[in-house]
Amino acid sequence: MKPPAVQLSREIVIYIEDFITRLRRGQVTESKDIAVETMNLMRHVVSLSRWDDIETLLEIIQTVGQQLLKALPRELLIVNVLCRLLRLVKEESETVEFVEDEWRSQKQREPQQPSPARGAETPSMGVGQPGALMRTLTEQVTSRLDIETMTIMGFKKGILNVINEYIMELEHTEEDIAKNALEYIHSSEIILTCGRSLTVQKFLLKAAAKRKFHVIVTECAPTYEGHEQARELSKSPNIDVVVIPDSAVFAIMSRVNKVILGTRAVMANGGLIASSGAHMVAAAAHHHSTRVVVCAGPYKHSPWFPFNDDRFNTLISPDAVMPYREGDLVNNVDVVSPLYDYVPPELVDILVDNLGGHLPSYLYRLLQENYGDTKDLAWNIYDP
Amino acid sequence: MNLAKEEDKVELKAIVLADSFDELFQPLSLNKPRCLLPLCNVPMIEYTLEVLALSGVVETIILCKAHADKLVQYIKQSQWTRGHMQMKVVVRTVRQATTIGDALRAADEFSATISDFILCTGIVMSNINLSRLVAAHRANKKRDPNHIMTMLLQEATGSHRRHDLCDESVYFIEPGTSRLLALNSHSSVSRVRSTVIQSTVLAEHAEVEVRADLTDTNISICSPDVLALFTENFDYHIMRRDFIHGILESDILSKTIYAHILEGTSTSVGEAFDLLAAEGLAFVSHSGYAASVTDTAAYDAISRDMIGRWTYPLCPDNNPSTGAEYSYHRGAVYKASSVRLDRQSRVEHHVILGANTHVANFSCISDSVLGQQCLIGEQSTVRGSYLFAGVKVGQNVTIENSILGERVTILDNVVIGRGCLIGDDVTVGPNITIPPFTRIARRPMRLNMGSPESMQDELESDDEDEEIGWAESNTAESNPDGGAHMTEADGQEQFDTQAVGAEGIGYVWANSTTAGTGFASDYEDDEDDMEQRLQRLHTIGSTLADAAHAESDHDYDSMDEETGDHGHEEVKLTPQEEFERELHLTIKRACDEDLSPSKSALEIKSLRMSYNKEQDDMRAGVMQEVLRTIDIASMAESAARVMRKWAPVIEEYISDGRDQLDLVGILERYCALEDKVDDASRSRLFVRLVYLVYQLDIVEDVAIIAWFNRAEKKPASEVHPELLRALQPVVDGLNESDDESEEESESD
Repeated sequence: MKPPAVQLSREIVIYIEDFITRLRRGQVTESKDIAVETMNLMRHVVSLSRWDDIETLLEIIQTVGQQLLKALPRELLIVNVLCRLLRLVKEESETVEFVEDEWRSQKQREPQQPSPARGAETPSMGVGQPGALMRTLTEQVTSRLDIETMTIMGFKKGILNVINEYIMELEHTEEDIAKNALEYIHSSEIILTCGRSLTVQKFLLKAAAKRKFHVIVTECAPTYEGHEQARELSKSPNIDVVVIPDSAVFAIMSRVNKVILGTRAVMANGGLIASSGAHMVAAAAHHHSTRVVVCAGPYKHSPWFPFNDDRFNTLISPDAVMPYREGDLVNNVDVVSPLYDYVPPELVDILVDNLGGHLPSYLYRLLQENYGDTKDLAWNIYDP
Repeated sequence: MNLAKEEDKVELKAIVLADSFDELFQPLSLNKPRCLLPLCNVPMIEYTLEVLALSGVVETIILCKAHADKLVQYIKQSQWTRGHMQMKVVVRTVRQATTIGDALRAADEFSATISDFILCTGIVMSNINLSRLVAAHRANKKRDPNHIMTMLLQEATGSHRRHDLCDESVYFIEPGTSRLLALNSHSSVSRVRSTVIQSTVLAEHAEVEVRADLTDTNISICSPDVLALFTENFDYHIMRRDFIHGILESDILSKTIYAHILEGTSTSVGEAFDLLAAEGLAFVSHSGYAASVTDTAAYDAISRDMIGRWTYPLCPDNNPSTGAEYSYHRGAVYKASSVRLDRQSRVEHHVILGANTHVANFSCISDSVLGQQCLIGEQSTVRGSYLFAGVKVGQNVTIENSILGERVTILDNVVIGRGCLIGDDVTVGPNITIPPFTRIARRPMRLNMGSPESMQDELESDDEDEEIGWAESNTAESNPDGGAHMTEADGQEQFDTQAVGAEGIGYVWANSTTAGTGFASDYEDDEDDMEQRLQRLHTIGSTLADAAHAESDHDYDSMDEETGDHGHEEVKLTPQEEFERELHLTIKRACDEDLSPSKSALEIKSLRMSYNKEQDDMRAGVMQEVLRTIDIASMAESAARVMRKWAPVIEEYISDGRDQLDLVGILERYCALEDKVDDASRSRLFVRLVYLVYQLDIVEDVAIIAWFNRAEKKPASEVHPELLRALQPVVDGLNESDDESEEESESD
């Protein structure tokens, strides 16, 4: 089902193009920043665009989503936050309907048709049905016109509030996740982590406030972002940091108590799109029956399944793996340097988000709560 | 450092010379400026602008001469002129300029650059942040006030595809400071084995690094003095030969040039610049990519680098200009969403397929870039080539290491050798072989361009043509049906049919050095001409061997062996005969002694090894010999027996659909030409054999139908019409049974 194309105003198009350009040029790379920036963009879109019912607003959001995804097909986070936004807008529209109904029944003292059931767990509206607000608008009651416009204004304000709240939530995700740290990290444990992850960094530092433990960081060649992670972690006096080459992971795994990984995205089956090297670490941990804990905010939960390993990967310049100057090699050898690894769900033991730990098999439930039936809309965005 | 920060606030400017004032891309660049030609299906200027925008440049001035109005028009509708873009793009036309020097003198007149700026002499591409290079340049200026220019050089060993074959430069660099002390340029053609070091260079510096493995990227950071110097010295024409040599060798000017080297080390750009800031070092080498499209050979190399993702984030699937979306597939195949590939087609590796491109059955594409709306006919091979938008390729065509302009039509059975450049709207064929390094254009080259100083005339004549409007090319555009147009045009124009084929539309575009000699194959006779060989080295697909050097390039040599069958067969006539005899004896013995097929397969295989034969030769040879053992008197059962016996051996030499087609062709040739078969039973034998190979699953029905359809169009001299008529009912039968599967493949 393709939503009719909505004409976006010039102003919004400029915002969108600017956003796409910045992402393409690699000026925004941190996953949280991408999520926050996307929401900031959507706040502009919601406040600047003209819409007078829920359907139009949802269509606008989907149109913007399609454009973003067309330009940045491998950026999973954008889809995640957009689905969340669609869900939030729908929930908000339901509360508005509730107020509306109440007002109407009070004012007119007439029995109204029962409002559809609602609640966080049971989404009440499909996209195809006309929304409650729409219905009230089409009733053509002239005497209530100014009240309706007021409702729209109020509704817009409400949605912007919800977006702002969500942005706050995104910005504090890492702290919220770190609150769980003490449940997972115990004194004098040996923790292994892989590459650079802000979430994991805060998680470990939070635990280090109370407990003393060892952390082994794999350096993650060829980016060597593990070095930076180690530098940050060593700022805490309670963490004993050791950097090891990637090749030593298997050898050292027998001494490790727990593996804590950050990730770029968690797919709908519980698999991870994590920085390259993560698969090897997880596989080694699995072999030694070491527990793999993955820290990921809910905005990293993707409603999509990884049908194709290459689909969400990014291949960067092979420069770091093989020097470009070597003419004979460059002419004759193909070098592929993927940025991410796909870690299958069976290698992941626990997913930790701001609510606590979950099994990967429980992920469907989290997705349902986060996105509801807007998951289907993700496909809409994906395949216009 | 504080001072440097203050200067950072000065708006960073860039000057791009979009015109190169040479004719290396002609005839491709006849209708539009070189900078708008597509590289990986995006106009090249986009990459340059993207690099500059990424580096935080505030204002870019593009200097352009030929087709300036088209560039202005392009920039006007592009994303760069939209309000929100931080970079301002201005196009300046320099009508009087005939060299880079002239253009820069013009730039000095109208642009009042007070601070250092980025100068790109040509279309450049890079993935490093040039603003940091500018910062390094400024920091170094504090130490050496005479520092006026920083050249960006990329390391590439001699065998590298980026290595400039025409210009072996030797750089003398002072280690530590990276100051460029001297620069010697040698032409590869002249086989220089030594270089000259000035005694002053050795006398004045404790250490000198001599390097021959650096490639100029045509990106440099210049002080405003550079433009002034160009104005003062009006005899400076070429950047490298005049300006850099002039500065380095002049004692009076006492200006210095520094080199910044992009090295293939694991030091990241950030680290290198941190070091730079910390230690106040001039230029620390780091990894990164920078290149300039100077000629078609560089165009080829850069396209390959881009497909190999060396230029990340400037990659086909991360297109800077909107509108084209490619998805990456294994083997570095980039596909637009609307590409149509037939089931039996083969897209091998390092390929970009533009939107709405269609590749038909049994054709093979590798190491190539296909533009939008390209059509590749059945059984065609495209290797190492660049096809711009709207190219139509007929059946059984081979294209190697060539560049084909927009809307070029290649008719059936054409072979295009390496290094060919074919301009827009040309039609070639059918049944012709275009020799390597031919240039073909839609319009004839003017004779008055033969003189060496023709550059100016030519560029001006380009402009004239634009004003008049090129009537013929317009008719070609308006008439999409090439066939109908040809007959019509033949009445008006006399094309070089000798070169472009009986139905061809176009003229051989001889270079100014060879104008008058006319045909490009004269190259071979005239090898002493240095200019010609240089020109050729600038061309895609060229190797040092083309300049009559002893050295050879493995890559291209092996390619030649694969495809250059004609040449090789002539030379190795005796071994070929010997091989045929051996094969004949082997198969005969196998029949006489009734050996098992697996045993004879082994023997045949060892024969193949000892004579180093291709699969195709083997198939033809084995089939020929096997068919000869069929007893014509008791044809039906004898054929069945023989084919059944040899089926496993034959199958060894069938690997894909193409081979199947070939096999049917071999059967047909045998039945049509073999003396042993009498005329009456030819068609019967053919039908029988085709039926048998189908029965034995050696050949699929699709292949038979495809062969039949193709054969129908061929002249009677190539295909026996009676045999075809006899095959008709079989094909009809197959077609009917194949209907279902066809429907499937259509829905694909």
